Amino acid sequence: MVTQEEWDKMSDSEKQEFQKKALEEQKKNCIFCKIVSGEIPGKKVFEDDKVIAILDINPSAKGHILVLPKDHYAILPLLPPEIFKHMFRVCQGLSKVIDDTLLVRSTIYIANGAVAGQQSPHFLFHIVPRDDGDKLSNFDIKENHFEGEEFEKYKAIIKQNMPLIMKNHLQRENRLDLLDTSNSQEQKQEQSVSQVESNENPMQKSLSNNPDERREQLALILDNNPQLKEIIKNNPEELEKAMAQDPRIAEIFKGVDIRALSTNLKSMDEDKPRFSGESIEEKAQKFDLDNLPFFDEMDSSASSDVEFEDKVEQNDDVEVETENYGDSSYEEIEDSPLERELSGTENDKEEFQEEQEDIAEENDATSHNPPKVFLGENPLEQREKVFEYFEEKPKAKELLKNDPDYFIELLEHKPEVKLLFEDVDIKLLSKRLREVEQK
Amino acid sequence: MTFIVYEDKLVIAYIPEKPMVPGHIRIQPRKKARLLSDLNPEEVEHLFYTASYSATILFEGLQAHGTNIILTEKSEKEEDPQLCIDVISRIQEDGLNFQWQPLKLEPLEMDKIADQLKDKADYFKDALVNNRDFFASKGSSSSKTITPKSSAVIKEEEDEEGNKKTNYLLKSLHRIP
Repeated sequence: MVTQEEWDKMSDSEKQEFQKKALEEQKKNCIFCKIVSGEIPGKKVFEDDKVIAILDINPSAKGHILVLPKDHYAILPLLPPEIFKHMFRVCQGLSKVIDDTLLVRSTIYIANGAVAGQQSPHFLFHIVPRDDGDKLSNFDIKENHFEGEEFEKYKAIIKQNMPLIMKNHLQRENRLDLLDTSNSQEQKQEQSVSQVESNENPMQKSLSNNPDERREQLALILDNNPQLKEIIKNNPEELEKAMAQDPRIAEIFKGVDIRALSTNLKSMDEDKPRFSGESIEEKAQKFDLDNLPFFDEMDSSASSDVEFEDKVEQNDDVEVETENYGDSSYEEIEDSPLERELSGTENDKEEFQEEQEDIAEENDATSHNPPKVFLGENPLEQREKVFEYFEEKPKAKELLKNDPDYFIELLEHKPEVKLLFEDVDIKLLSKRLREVEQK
Repeated sequence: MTFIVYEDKLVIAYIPEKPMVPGHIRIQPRKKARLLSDLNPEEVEHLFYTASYSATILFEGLQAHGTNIILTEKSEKEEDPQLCIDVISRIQEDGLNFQWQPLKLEPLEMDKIADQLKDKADYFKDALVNNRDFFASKGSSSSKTITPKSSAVIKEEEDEEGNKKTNYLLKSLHRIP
């Protein structure tokens, strides 16, 4: 193990490497992996190719069973679908076995995470035989009372995301028919999907080989992730790269002509900008981690928008001063402090947004989503780091400005710097820097 | 008043009127069910999938540090014997504890119970491999009639252990062709 001090000294790539090793080590030392392999004996009740069930050596009741996948997974949401389904089929069977054998009912108990009482990093669940009047009140669900703003916020977040995440799941399972009892929110979504379809007739060409659900799914994904849409529109290469790295993203866009989609989206935007009609708060609550772990847009998009406005206001004075330079050359930009660049890029953004808003006068302009340079979880912090880096290395900045493609290539050889630019839309940044220079 | 967060043809998910913690989601099958075996395998799978995605939302949306998923099959004596599954958001030092006091069992006792369970589980495995319906078998109908009997047995006390044993032996007698 390493001390905290050693850990702090490590670079991020070293940390990643260390964590990878730690996971392997964890598997090597995992007591349940050893039981699966037979290295440690266990009282097996059930075993097949995917799952094993043994008696718990610290049982809460007689006949307390542990059911675990043979492969090592940390928590329930990480189980692959075929293992998941099989495990709960076995779960149902074994609860019946307990019913038939011990003539009692059972409790299924799952702990995800050490905080929740998970004692081993190998996911498993418990089947505990229960009978009327037993002393296992620890499994009781106690009642409490909560109210107030925070609780309401939690409820709203759950209500917002639950239908989305379940719809995505049912889409994957090809069981959208289960949603027939839809509520109003569901209907709204359905509507927007059909809207996309009617608007995206050109898209049919590139997707004609795929079943209708695929197109619907893709349209829904784009609808739910305006940021992703922007990326496809402005930077199809970026997505292609992401596809190469993440098979799940590749799966979503399999058989889709990204470039064609990109031009389609662009032309769509010019013809008639579409709006999701959500408030910023709603957007902040919405996330679609399940489909797109890569582009997490949760709170960051909303908070950065707000932040832009603030900063522009603050920097108004600076702006006036620097405008006196007239045609400010690159040198002047170099000389001026960090804020100049910050306000520059942000102001551009603001202008960009205004342009877009002009185009979209008829519609609700506030809900428009300008392309983001910074896509990470904490864009503000990241931005500061990037500008610090630029102050240190003006040459790198020059390179990024003039030849973003080459810069991206170079990043591949410098993992530490690459981490700094993680999720940064480099081409867009390059464009912004050039715009600043032109002023 | 319950706050429904999701529903489809098979399940309904809501935040209970009196939740255990602020991040608490309860999922109930639409079908009337007291035991897991009252549902078909697809319904069980969907129930647990809904629970798993609820856990994901608690992790990602509410920044939970951990989650517990608990399903307790209902006793016939309960007022509303409808099966439900509770997904509980956990954070550091929240004061909750689902942990139990381990029971001390003699190795011999452990062996005996393992054998008993394995015996029946083998039937289940066989049904699973050959795609036969394990739940519609004789046991299913008997479970409903036997379970109350077993609670009656406990009520009458005396030789709980012995009774169970004879029941078990009786059952294995049935199995002999």
